[in-house]
Amino acid sequence: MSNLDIALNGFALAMQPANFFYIVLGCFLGTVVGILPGLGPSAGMALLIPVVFGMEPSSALMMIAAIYYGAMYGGSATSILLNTPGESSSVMTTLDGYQMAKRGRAGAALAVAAIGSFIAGTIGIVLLSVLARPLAQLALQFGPPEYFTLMVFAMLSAAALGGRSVARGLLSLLLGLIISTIGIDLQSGLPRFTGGQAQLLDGVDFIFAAVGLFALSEVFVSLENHFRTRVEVMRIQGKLWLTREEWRRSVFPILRGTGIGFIKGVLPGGGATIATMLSYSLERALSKDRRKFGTGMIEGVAGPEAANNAATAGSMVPLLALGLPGSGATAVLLGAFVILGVQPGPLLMSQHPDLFWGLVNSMYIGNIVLFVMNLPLIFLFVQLLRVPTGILFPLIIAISSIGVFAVNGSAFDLYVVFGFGLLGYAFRKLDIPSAPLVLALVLGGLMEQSFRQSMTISGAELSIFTSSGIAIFFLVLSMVALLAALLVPVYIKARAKGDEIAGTLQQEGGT
Amino acid sequence: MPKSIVSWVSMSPTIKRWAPLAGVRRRGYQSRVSLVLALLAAILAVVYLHAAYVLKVPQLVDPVGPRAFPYLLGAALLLCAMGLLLEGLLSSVPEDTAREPFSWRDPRYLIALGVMAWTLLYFLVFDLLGYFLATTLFLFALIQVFNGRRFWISLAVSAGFSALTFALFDGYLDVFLPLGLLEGWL
Repeated sequence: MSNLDIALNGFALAMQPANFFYIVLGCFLGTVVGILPGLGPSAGMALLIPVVFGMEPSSALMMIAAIYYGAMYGGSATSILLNTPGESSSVMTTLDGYQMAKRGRAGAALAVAAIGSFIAGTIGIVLLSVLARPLAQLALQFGPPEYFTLMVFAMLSAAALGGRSVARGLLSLLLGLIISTIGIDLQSGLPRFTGGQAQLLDGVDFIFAAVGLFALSEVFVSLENHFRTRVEVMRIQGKLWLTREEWRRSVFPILRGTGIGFIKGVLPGGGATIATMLSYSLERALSKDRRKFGTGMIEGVAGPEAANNAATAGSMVPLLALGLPGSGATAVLLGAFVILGVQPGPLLMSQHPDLFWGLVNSMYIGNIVLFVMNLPLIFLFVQLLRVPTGILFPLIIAISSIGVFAVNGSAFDLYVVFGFGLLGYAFRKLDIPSAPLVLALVLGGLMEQSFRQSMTISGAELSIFTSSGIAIFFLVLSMVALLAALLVPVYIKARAKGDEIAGTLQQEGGT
Repeated sequence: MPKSIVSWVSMSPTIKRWAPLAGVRRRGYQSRVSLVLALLAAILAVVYLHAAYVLKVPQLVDPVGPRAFPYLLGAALLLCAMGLLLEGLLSSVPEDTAREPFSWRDPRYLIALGVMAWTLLYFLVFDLLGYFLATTLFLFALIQVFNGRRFWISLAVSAGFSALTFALFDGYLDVFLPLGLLEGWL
């Protein structure tokens, strides 16, 4: 069977009525998750994973993936109409999107967000289809040392680039790795760090961490601010389409945002959020009216919205080809794969081509479904913004309890989730990113396994990690990521200070 | 101390530069957070390394055994604690000017504490009371507090949601949920 036939078979699989239904359901749930403030894609996926336990793996994965990229679409409506981002990758959209809505151009802002997301998403999936195969073939040459160093690179990047402090990102990462060592050591059969609790022998499931850190802590923080914040939902005014002038101004930001987003998505660390920031900064730097950014410039919506959807497709490249997530959301997605008995990585494409191409091609279909949901049907979805948060947040805790209890049927797991909820609350107050912890918890077992396999191969010689070009390459990249995270803020600070001094001198010269 | 010396000390750029390091100037929120985290990370690293050290390793294992990776993590955590200490001493994390100063008397923390306590109680009685009763009670109280004390609406939403989700998950999706006190009734 030729490659084209296999890819077309994937389309046929995705178009089967049951699978199509789950794609639409996933897109619907993703849009809801994106629109509802307080629920991001990571929390949304983690809450729904237990529901898909008994489902056919391909259908379940198509649905979970649709929730992931659907949430990226939905987040823009909350940013534009509420001035509150539905998830972190929509923060940049609030800057100009909400201002457009205030000027009576909410329809155009929503339209450019949906169009930009659709174009970027589709180009991103085409690039994913093209790049995943060669990358997977390259990864077939990786042995345990290469995988170990690759994971070091992915985790260091995620920890160092994901928050406002490198050390706090690393603390979160190391906590995740430490938690991943709890339970029976698979190579020696020895229970480790369980404190005598039989329930911990199987380790700590990543779902508990994801639900506690992403969903429960968000509810705690939102409810404590409940009586202080009153948000007003803007009405959708103006036509849900673009004028000729708006098209002209949006096309290149969308294309540039797609490029930035896809590249940033492929690279670990920061994920879609950093991609949107880079895109916004680039558009502002390129614009002749850069001072008008923040007052309702359509370029400030088009670029970041394209970037976050392209980043979503980009992040699927290392996930599917290498089995390596680069952010909290893709870590949850990897966890879903594993729970459903599918190991993403270089062998996925050769051993389960139908599943691989079914999933990739379902994303083309999902993009079209989301375009429809987020443009003509957006009027229905924004009604969700009128659901009182005093009802919504308690319901999220109740849904969490179902999802968590479903994993093992044990109330002990609820206490573990509660613990993670408290930890997540503390993390938010202390500006510690949660995503590195979840990423480390998902990858920790695999990382230790490749470390010990490497040690077995080398007879406990650490020099094995510098014995191949690929391993050295990843170690160098890790150092670069760490140095960049440490030095870039220093450079920005120095530059800002330089600008300040230059401004003062100029003022003094003027007077 | 003569007044001139006091003013010299407060004016000196050298003193100003080193003031954060010497603890003369009051530290910002982010610096204090880094210092506390450094201490906690160091304590955790020591406890974890000790727990790894006392593991009873079987004789037939791979070359490095089950302790090696935890040792690596413990050492990395100690390095991280040093990084946090440096971060705190050098005040390298930018302060958020919009952030309100932390105060235990802020009623918001009491609200968060109340929600956490109520959630913990819900989880503790989840098995005993069963999903339907525990969830209805949990939701009812929270919705009453956060949605304006509309008794009948709170009751309808909480009981309706609990019944609907129980029927959907336990009946249709085969997700086992405890019946608790309703065991003999349903």
